[in-house]
Amino acid sequence: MSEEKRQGAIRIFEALSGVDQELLERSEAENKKGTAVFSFARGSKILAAALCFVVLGAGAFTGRRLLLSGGASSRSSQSVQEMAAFDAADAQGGQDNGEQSAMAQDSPEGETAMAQDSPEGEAAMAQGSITEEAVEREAAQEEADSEAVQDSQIDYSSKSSSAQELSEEQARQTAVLGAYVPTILPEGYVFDRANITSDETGETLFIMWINGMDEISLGLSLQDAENLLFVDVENPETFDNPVFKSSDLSEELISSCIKIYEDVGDTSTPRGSFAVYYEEDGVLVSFTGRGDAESIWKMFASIRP
Amino acid sequence: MKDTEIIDLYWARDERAIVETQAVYGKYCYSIAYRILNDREDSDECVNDTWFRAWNAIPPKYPERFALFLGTITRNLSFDKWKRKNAGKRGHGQMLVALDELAECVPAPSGTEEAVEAAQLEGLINQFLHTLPERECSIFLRRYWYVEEYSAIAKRYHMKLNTVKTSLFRTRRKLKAYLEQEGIRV
Repeated sequence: MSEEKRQGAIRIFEALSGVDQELLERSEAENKKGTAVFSFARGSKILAAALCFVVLGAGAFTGRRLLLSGGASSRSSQSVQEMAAFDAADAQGGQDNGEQSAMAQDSPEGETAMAQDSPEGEAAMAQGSITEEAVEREAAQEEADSEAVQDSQIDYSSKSSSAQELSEEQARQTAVLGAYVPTILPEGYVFDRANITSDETGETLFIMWINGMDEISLGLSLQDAENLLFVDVENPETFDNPVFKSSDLSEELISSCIKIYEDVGDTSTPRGSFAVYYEEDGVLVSFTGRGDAESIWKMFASIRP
Repeated sequence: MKDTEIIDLYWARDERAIVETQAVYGKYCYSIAYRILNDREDSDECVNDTWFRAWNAIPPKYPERFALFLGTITRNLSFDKWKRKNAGKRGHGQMLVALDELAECVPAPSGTEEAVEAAQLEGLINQFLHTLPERECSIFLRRYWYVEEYSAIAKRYHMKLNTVKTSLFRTRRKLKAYLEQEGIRV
């Protein structure tokens, strides 16, 4: 890092001290929101299990009553239902208390928050050791499943993206990504549609051109090279959807990715998919479409950011 | 003790204010200092200086967000100490890595930029942060205000590590483009 860059970085770091405090507060608040969702997911499983127990108990009670019609059995089944409801309430309270402990362990901020909040679970926790054991067993199981839960939550949140339809000109004018929209297309292709989507991973520009039943689509996004696996240019055909560095791209490489597939009812235009990474701006251009290697090569050669 | 009660102690010039502040926010401020300084003794010193600064500032100040008020003091003190210790040297720890990353945001010189005052740069960066989606802004602040590690940010928001890295990468590029568009020299 040059001294000029270092000083610039220092000034930016210092300038961040004046950031609006509500933005900083918000960066704290998101943790609690995430925790609340996770807590609900965990708590709801316990409630679902408890409700199943109640239903089974009720079923057993009804069946037994039909068979025996005895007062003693009704009392025991009723107490089972009460116990199940009691356990469900305790489990939820105990779960909340466990979540607060986890937050405190994560960060001092969490500990502060825990100190300031009223631990609602404490009273519930004090009511029965059997309930505590059940909560701890459930919590241990939930820890083992936590990775999957978090991933599913991440997947869900990443689907909540916004898409904005664009004209071809607007697509070309899009900051950074627009510069990588080719200016030359294979013969016969006309613009069909484009949009830009934003989600937690960033923006993705999508653009499609069509030529009768044939189509070419590009997906453009910013990527960190560390996240990409670049193809061995000596053996590109061994990869599905290969990623090439722009400096490696050639007509020969493209021809290794473009093939003719004999599908009934489909056109005989060669088709394939691959991606090209432009290191200067960190832009990944993902191609899916039809055309001969030469025309597709000319399309990519026309990209001049 | 609640923040309002602690601040009332400052206003009453009751030295219990320092004790209570230490009890509630000691770890919070220490963690901010340690991420910057990576040294226990220096971090303790900055935290103690934070209480001193708070004592001198309150009154007349009545901080609305006491935690952030203290955290900002700690951050500034810690970074000043870091600069003194690392002038002309390559240090270690997250601070240096974070600065290396922020260096990517420094606009490329084109000869037409104007030098910007610190207050103006603060305003511009604030404006920039308000243009970002919530999550992206929060990740950026956790990294470059709190100097949190990638893994801590990923854990905080239940995200994958690479997602955090990609988000920061994009935001740094956006900031650079924003500053270049404003035509300023940092």
